[in-house]
Amino acid sequence: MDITKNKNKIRASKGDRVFKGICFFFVIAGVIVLLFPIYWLLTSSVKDQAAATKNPPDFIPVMPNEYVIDIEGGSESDFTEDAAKIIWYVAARYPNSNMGKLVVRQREDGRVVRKASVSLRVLNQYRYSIFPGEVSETMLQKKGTLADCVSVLEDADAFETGLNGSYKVYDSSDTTQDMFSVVSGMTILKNSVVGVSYDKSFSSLFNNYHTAWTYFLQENDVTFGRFLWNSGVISVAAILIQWVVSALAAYAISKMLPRLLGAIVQTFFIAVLMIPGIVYTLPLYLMVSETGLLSNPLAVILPGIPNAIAIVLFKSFFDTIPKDMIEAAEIDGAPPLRIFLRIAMPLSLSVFGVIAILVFTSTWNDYMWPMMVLKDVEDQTFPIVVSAMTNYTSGGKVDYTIALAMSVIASLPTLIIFLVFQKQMQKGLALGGLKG
Amino acid sequence: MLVVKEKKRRWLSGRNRHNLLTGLLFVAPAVIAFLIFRYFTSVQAFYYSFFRYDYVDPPGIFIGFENYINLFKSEVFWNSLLNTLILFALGVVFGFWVPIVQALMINELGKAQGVFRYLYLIPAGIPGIASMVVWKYIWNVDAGLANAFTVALGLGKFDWLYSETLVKFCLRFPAILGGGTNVLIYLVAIGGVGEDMYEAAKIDGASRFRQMLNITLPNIMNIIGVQFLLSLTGSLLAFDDVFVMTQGGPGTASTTVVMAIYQKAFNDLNYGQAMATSVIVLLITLGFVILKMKLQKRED
Repeated sequence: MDITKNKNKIRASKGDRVFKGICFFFVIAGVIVLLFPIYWLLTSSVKDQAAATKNPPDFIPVMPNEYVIDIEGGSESDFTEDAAKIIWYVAARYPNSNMGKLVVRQREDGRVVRKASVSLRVLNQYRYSIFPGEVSETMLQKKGTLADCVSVLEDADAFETGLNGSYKVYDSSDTTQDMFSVVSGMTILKNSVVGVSYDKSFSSLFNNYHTAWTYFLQENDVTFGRFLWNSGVISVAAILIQWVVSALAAYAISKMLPRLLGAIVQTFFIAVLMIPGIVYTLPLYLMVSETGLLSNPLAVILPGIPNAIAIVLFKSFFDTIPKDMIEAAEIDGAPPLRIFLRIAMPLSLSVFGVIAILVFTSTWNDYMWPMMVLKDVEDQTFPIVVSAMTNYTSGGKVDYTIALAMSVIASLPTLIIFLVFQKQMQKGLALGGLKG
Repeated sequence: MLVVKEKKRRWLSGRNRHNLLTGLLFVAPAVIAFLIFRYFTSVQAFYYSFFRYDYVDPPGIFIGFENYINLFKSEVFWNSLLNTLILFALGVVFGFWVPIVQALMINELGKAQGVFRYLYLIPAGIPGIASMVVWKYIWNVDAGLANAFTVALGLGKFDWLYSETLVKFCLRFPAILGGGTNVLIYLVAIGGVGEDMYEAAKIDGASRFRQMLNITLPNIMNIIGVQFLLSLTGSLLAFDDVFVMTQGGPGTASTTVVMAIYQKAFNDLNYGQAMATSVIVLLITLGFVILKMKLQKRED
C-alpha cells in the first residue's frame, strides 16, 4: 500500500508542480491588476489639476514644489499688496510647474521680516473669480488666501539664507530663473525683487485632501467629515435596529410560535425578496415627501427596517439552540424576553456580528435611496457628495482631483474596519453570500 | 404542575399561550415594518399605475391601462430593456467567470492561500463610489488613463463614456478585475468539497488540474447557479454605477430600466407611468422566479 502511494505521489507531482506554479503566477498577476485602480486612486488624488490632466499621466506622482520669492525695499503696507500681485500673477503664469505652495517674503537689512504663503490648491479655487484690477483686495478677503497667511516675523527667519549683498537666485532651475526675470519685470510692484528659490514641498501633497475636507465649509458650514458622520449615523442605527427587530422576530419564529404560524410569518417576510426594490421605492418616496421627512435621516433608516435576509440568518442560527435549554429556563419561570437576553443572545454573538457586517456594508455604500430623499447638503451621505464632485470643473476644465481626494478620505473608515475585523468580515461576507 | 414532560404539548396551555402572545409581540415590529414599507407601498405602486398621478392632489385622474399602453409604445422603455440586457450580458462575459477562476486558482495554492484571500478581498473594503470615481476618471477623454494607453499603442483617442457604441463596454469592463466578496463566496464553497473525492482521484493518478476540472468545479455548480441568478436579478435593478458614471447617456445609450423609471418619475414627473413600468419589472422578476422553479422541478 505504501509503495503504490509513493509511486502515485511521484507520478502526479511534476505536472502538479507546474500547475501550481501557473496558478501562483496568475494569482499574483491577478492581485496586481485587481489592486491597480486603488493605486491609481491614491496617486491621482495627490496630483494638482495640471498633473491630473497631463497626457501621458505620471505613474508615480511628482512631489510638488514650493517657490519662494524675496522682495525688499518697500514699506510694511506695500508688502501685502505686492505679495498679492506676485502670487496671483505667478500662479497664473506657471500652471504646469507642479506648484504646491507660493511664498513671498519681504526683507529688510538682509533679514526676512514679513512672509506670506499660499497653498496653490486654495488659490486656484478663487483665482478665476478674481478680477486683475482687484487682486489684492479680493485676496485679502477670501478665506485661506492672503488674509490668513500674512505673518510678521520678529526674528531672523527659519529659512537658510546664506546671503549677503545682492543676489539673484538660490537654486538653478529654469523655472526659477524665468520667474525671477518675469517678476522683476512687474512694474506695478512697490518693492523690488531680489531672489527666487524653490524647494520640494511635502506638505503640499496633502493639498487636495485639505481642499476636499473644507470644500463645503464656506457655503454649508460643514467639513467632509459631516458626510461620513451622516453615513455613520444611518449605518449604526440600521445595525441596532436589525439587532432588535429582526433578532426578536427570528427568535419568536424559531422558538416561540407554533410551527404553522411560524412558517406563515416566515413566508410573509421572505416573499418580499421577490419584489424588486424599484416597485416600492417610488411610493416610498411619495410617502416620505408627503410626511415631510425629506432630508431627515429617518427617511433612510425607517424604510430599511424590513430585512428578510437578516431574519433568515438569525432564525437559522437560533434554530441550532437546543430546545431543552429554552425549556429548562421556561420551567424555572423565566419570562421569554429574559430567556432571549440571557440565553439566546450570548450564544449567538457571532451571528450578531455577521448581521452587523452585512448591514453596515449595504447601508454604507447605499446610493440611490439616500440620493433621492436627502436633499439638503448637510444631511447627505458621502456617496451623494462624492459623485456630485465628479462634475466639478476648474477654469473650464474638468477637475477630478477633489472627487478623488474625497474618495480616498471616504475609503479610510471602511478600510480600517476591514483591516481590524478581518476574520469576522470574511466569515460574515461568506455566510451572507452563501445564504443569500 | 406536571413533573413528567409530555411529548405533545396541549395547544393553548398556559405556558404555550404565554409564548404565543409574547412571540406575536416579538414579531410585531418586523411585521408592521414589512407591511408599511414593503407590502403597502407595493400595492400603492400597483394602484397608482392606473392613474395619471397628480403630485399636488394625489392620486389624480384614473386612466385605466393608459399608462401601460403608453409604456409599451415607448421607445425609451424598450430601449432601456435592451440596454439592461446588454449590460447583463457584458457583465457575464467580462466579470461573472473571473471570481470563479480566481477562487479555483487561489485554492490550489495550499498554505499560501491566506495571504491571497486577504489581498483579493481588499476591494470589498473600498466604498463602491470610490471605484466609480476612479473609473470615471480613467475613462475620461482628455485626462484619462484609457486614452493615454490607446494613444501610446497608436490607436488614437476614443470617446469611451461619450460614445454610444463604447459606453456599455466601459461600464462593464471593470468587472474583469474580479476580486471582492464573490471570490470569498466561491472559496468557501470550494472549501466545502469533501476531501475524500480528491483522495480517490489522487489514487487513480489524476493530476491536480484534472481534479480541479472534474471534482472541484462540478461540486460548486450549485453555488455558481445561485450566483448567476443573483447576478441576473441584480442586473435588472442596475442603477448606481450607470447614474454616477453616465447619467444614462450619451442620449439613452446606457439608460437601464430602473434609470428610465427614475427619469420618468423625476424628470417627466409622470409617476403613474413610472410605477406602471416598475410593475412590469415585477412581472419580469416573477417570470424568472417561475422559470427557476420549473427548472428545479425538471432537475428533480
